[in-house]
Amino acid sequence: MKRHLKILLPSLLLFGALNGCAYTSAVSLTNIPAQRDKPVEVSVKRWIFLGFNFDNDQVNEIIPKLKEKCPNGSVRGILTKDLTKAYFLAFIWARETIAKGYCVTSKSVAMDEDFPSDGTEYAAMIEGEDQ
Amino acid sequence: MRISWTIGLQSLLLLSLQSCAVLHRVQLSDVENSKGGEPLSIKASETTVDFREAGSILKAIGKSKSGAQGAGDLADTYAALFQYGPRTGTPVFNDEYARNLAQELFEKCKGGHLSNIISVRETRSYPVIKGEIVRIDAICTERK
Repeated sequence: MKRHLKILLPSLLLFGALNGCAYTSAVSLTNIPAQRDKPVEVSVKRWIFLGFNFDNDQVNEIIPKLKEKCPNGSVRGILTKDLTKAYFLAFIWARETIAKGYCVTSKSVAMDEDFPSDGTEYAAMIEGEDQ
Repeated sequence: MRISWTIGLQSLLLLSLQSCAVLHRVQLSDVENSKGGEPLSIKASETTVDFREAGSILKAIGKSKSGAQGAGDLADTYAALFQYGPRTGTPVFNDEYARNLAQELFEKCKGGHLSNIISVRETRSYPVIKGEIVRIDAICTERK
């Protein structure tokens, strides 16, 4: 019995230490494109020990990482999840931001040279296409 | 003995002057991979006082029935009465500090297209004093 306990207790402790509680701080979503055949996902993580964290510069890496995954297009329909994971009595925290989207290779509408600057002209253009 | 006191005080001062960065939220817009464009960053911040933390510190350093204990209780009561409810970071006294962020973005990118917008809500945390920050980074591309 004692021998079993000697194995069981450290195993339980190890299991507890490796497990974390996850908290979702925020979720946001942008417009979802019709072209959804190339999903992309990136994440940035910062390990924080005893709450000591001196900057949040990891978030600046998200956009370059997304660009890297979709070099010839733009990423649309981005679902951003902000998570905090607390491990072993909250001595160690992991602050993670995950961004999932779709790589769309068509030209950006906003940067289109033919795209009219006036909203009313754009509405008229759409109306003309419908007829 | 005097040297160790000096080192201790200096370490305490150094620790209290250091700030921790707390990340609350990150929000992304669609990401364009167009070439060029000028990166821009704007920030709005508001300094505030964490009454709960002040109360805890005063209570910890003060003996029972001392002035510090009384001040700690007062700070706690103030926070309980006026700063209840859901919050992100520490409550501030000016709720309009981030109101002009969009306007500032437009002014920094007149006639241009703003893309790759990343909005970050964070806190600079000093003992008792907190800096509540909203930061927006974007790419401004001039229209052809």
